[in-house]
Amino acid sequence: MQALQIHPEKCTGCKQCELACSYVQIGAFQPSRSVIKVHVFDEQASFAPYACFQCDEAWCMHACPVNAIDIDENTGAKIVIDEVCVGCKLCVIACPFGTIFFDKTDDIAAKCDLCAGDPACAHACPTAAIEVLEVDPGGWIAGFGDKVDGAYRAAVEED
Amino acid sequence: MLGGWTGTVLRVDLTSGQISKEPLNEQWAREYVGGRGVAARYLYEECDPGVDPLAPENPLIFATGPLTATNASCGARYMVVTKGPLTGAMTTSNSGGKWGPELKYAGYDLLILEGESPEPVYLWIQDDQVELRSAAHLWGQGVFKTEDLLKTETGVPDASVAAIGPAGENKVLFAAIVNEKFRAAGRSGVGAVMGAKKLKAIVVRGTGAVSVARPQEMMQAQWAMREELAAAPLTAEGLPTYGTLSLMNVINEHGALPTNNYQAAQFDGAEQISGEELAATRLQTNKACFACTIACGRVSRISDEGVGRYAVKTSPRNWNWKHSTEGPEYENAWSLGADCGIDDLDAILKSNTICNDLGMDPISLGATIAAAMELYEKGVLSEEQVGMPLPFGSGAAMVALTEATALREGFGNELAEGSKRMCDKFGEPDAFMGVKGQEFPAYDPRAIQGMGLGYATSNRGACHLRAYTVAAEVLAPEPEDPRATEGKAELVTAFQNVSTVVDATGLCIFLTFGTTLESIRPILVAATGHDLTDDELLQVGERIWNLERVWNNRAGLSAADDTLPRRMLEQAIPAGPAAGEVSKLGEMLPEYYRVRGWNERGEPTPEKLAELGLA
Amino acid sequence: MVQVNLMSPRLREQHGVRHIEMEEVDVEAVLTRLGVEESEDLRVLVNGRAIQFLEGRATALGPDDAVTIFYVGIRGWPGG
Repeated sequence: MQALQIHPEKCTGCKQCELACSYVQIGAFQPSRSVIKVHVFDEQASFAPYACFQCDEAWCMHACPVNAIDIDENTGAKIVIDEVCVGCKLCVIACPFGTIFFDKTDDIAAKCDLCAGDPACAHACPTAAIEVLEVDPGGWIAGFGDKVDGAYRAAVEED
Repeated sequence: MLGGWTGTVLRVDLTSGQISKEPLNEQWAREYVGGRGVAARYLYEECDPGVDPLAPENPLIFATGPLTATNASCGARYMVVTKGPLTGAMTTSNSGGKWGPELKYAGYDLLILEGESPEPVYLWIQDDQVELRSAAHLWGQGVFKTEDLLKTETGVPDASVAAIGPAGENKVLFAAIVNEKFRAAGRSGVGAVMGAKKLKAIVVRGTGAVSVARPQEMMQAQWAMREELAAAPLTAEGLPTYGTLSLMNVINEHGALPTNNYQAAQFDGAEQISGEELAATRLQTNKACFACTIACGRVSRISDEGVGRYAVKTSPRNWNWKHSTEGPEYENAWSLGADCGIDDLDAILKSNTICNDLGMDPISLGATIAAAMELYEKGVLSEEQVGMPLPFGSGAAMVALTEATALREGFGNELAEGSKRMCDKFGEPDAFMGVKGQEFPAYDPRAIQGMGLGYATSNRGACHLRAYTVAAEVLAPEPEDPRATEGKAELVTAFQNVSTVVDATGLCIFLTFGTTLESIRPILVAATGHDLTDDELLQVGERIWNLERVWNNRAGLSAADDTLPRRMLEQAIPAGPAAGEVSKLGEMLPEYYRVRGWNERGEPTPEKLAELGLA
Repeated sequence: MVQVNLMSPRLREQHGVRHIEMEEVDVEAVLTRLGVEESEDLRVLVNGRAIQFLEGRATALGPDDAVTIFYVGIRGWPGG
């Protein structure tokens, strides 16, 4: 399956990704409807783009009472089936990362569908801060385990 | 309506508090493209050129262009157009960040502010809901705190804030309008006009869409231009790595870096205030404006050694990088640095940060302090008058006077009038270094002849952005001879016309270091759906330039104002590579009028006006 | 001795200094000695004057001359 890998240290905060995301959805420029967002921490001059991790164990999908979230069999992306979604927002509440949104224009849920395998945001980024990765299901989180483990070991050794 | 536009103008009468919406004049959008051009046309229509700039009758116009808020690289800009209190001319002051795009997403192409509020207010625009709210609790606050308070008060952290600081409130003649704390419509005193209207801030949040006429065509054209920017070393590497400050060493080596109020043209301390030095010692990261694929913004910090004297705080949440701030650009590092004989980046960063917080143009501020330093050096000003010693090179005095100017305290009250009025008052008019009341930027016009003609004929007073012939005379692979006058009238005219068009589109002028108008035009045409050839587009630039000129002439400006200080015309550069040079403006100006199709009094002829549809 | 000012970060890194003194007869010799590659971005000044307005790379150098070398990656400009 695929996922977006984001390198916040390369991000300049230009929001070309948000422009591209809204453009592929509606054919116009509307960052408020983008499902990738750049959070700007101005005080630290750091910029953090965030989008759906495409969790293997997708809480949004499990929370949906009408089975409006499905898996794209080519990319593994969790996608909202617009015709089925009733706009109850349970998925928005369920997502621990805040990366599924309620679209006020259409009154349904909206999330990253990886553009069917060729994400526009990754193309649009001028500094290659967004990359498309082929990942093992669940494999993306293994790296975090190593990191936590390493930090723990370092702390123990310091003691 | 043309693509790229929302089609709506928001009009606010601050006297009555009446808020209204009207359709954008589509014919003007075709004839003037947008931004600077369309706003100039509105001002031309609605404002008597003889108006007192600080009177309620002087409108304050915020204008986006058709490419603002699209994905066109660097489509972030808005232009503030009004009669400038520093110059008495039509001024067009440009800023980036995301305030302009936010206005567009809220559904407005232009914002026209009229009248004068009886009490301090701020304007809160959230999509189609627009209201004036009391700013009594904000009056007197700096820009930084105002922005923080307004985001909390509106409860919308994604909103953008354009505000004035105490300098605007106190009608400092070079007060700026500052958005997102560090982006500013800086020059000619637009902040003083806002202050006179008792408008503290404009808070905008927009969630709507901006559509273009031919999306696929636009994507292709934008992609092609973006590739050019990514391939040109200056826009791909130079500006992101060193910012505009990379010019410091280059201009100094050419002997064109004005020093000590233009008494010299090379600065011994240039290396210490260069982009290379900033990157090595104080730079945290670079930062982009909205949609910008260059990202030249500097996020920097005061050095550990400098913190004791020059600590800064830009936000209560500034916990990670203490003493972090933004800047400086080449221009302010020059005005607050070389022009004042100061080689201390910490002092420059501190003064620049105060300028952003209290809302002032650092170019005019630094140049005015430099002029005061010269008067002090000559004994015209005493330590008693200034309240402190004011020798060239004193960072401490500059920082103290920066704050005093914004607050109009002590000698700051003299500086707040700008260097022309200050020098006149103390009987030294020849110490004023500028044109039409506005201080010069950072290139000695004696060493780069085209810049002299550009400064003298700029519609908003001395300015580097109206005709940046440095690009052709210094930076180009096969440069035009900077010391020659031949061909400079054509060169300056061409630069003025193209720069005006870029300003009208809503794009950033820095694009033009990596690409050309031939690559920008297809993006504009696809976005609006209004077909224009390269020549027609250049004529738009010419039309806007002539419109500004006609208005200025009616405001009382004339050929007599198209001049340079005597020091530039009569006193040669004393030393360095360009030693012995003076500005040969007298050779270039009549030729310029001829190339422009103007008479010898600098007035567009009836034939020229007819040709441009201005008759 | 000819004073050579390296204004480009790249050249400074390459040579580890900002200024070098050397005895060379002309600009060509200085550039060769420093291993400066030909590039459309290369700019060379002699005493603050672009060599295009002197004798180009053949510009002769004397004891008090200063050569400045930097790069400008400009590809367009408003009006060009």
